[in-house]
Amino acid sequence: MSVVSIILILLVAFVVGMDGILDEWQVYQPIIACTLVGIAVGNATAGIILGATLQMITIGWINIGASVAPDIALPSVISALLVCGPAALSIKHGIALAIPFAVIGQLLNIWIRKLTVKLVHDADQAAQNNQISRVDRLHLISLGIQGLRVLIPTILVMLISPQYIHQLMQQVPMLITNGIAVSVGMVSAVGFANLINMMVSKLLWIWFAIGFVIAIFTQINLFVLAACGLVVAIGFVWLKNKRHGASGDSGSDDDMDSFDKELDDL
Amino acid sequence: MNHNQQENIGSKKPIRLHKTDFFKIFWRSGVEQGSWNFERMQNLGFAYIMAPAIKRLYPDPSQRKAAMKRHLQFFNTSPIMQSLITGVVLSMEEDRANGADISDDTINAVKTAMMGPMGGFGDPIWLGTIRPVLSAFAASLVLSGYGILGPILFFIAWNILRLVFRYFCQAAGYHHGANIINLFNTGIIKNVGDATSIFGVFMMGVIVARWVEVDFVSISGWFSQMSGGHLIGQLANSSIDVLAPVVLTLICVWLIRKQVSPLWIILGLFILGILGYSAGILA
Repeated sequence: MSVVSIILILLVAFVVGMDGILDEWQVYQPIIACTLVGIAVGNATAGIILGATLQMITIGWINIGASVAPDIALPSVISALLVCGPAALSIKHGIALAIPFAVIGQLLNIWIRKLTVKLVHDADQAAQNNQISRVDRLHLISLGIQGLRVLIPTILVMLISPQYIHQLMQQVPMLITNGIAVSVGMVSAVGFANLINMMVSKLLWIWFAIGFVIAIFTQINLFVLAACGLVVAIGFVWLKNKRHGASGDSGSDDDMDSFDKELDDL
Repeated sequence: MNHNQQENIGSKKPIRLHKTDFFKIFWRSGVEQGSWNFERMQNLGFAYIMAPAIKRLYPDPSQRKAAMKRHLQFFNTSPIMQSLITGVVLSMEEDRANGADISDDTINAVKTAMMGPMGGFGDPIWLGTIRPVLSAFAASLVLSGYGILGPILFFIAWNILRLVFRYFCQAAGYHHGANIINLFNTGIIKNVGDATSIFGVFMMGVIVARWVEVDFVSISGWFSQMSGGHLIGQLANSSIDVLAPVVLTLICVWLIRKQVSPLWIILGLFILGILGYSAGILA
């Protein structure tokens, strides 16, 4: 790998690590992170395809409240590095390796979130001493540590000889590699199940069924389905309100109650 | 009001946030979660966002210290919805700096009252609906041969939505102050939440149908041998194709509700895939 490639990979790893905790720019989502690593190594095509495949697996991995989901940032960077880089692994291997790195990334993330408590105590002290810029700095240091969370493991993987990794993965029996390739289509179900678990209350299953039936029995394009879904959803809520409004003024209290109930469901 | 008092008020110019402060805070609000911790979650992040305002509004050291401490208390919400809370808090802090009677507790009570509903409203919309739908579009573009267009569109679409929404929320919160809480009672939040849930769940059905694949090789062949006719074999084959993804997804939902970690389910599916492949059932 050229020096430029190495610097670019390290830069991508650091930025992806920071965005992984921020959850803002979505650079850490596989479809972008793998593409960036692919571009850095000079093999964008493999990166994009790996990214899209991993994206479907990780689509439902969400940090809600105080829970920490399996990590997305670290496996995206490392898998893309091994698939697009000199180790030249197949996409199947890249996906299989993403899972252990998702666990490692998750554990590191939990550990850092505990570690940050110390920095927060320092910030309390800084506030007590009226040092606002020190408070600012402590926040940015915490952010930097989250960047290192992906950067350091990436450096460690880069230090291993790519030929060695390639040979090691070649020794994995075809049965296992192909078996994992077969399960990729099934694995995306887990992410969707996680989303469904979060979104669906009893009343909403019907919409899931409608979407499923239309999509499986017709060839209608995803964009068209989304546009129709949006129109129907807005129309349905509008109609429901219209009927509700006509039934009398006592509705507003019920509205708040059912909203509370729905929040509980979510 | 007598003449003296009037002069007194007139001589003291009200402290206002500058336009640059407002933009600094807007920029900072996008790095709120950098110091997410298990003790007070987004507390340091929120203090970091407020820092430019605190510097501007409280020249007096003791007031400044109090303001920093006030915003280092527990805080956690859906990151993108936090801009609305930021706006409201900015307006309250500004009033307080100009002598309005707003206590620490009042400011904290407003933050606490908003963060729960905003979290319950924002996460399902942004992380549960918009991101999955956009990234599924992007992935489908890639897998149907559009290459880099997929990731680029995903990045641009998400970030335009996010930044525009954040900006308007911060501005609305700042202009309306704590009155914005009245918005919660108009039903607009409920309606938007309802429509998004319906749309999100509908799309989930669509995406599961198109993406979850369980490829059986031999069952259709087995069925046609058993029945001796192609029609029943085909029928069995297509109904398995239809049912397998939804059954698999529902099993996963059930396991997740039983508190099984998603990673164990994935590992289980890998093992199932390897076993199924070696037995010649899956391909």
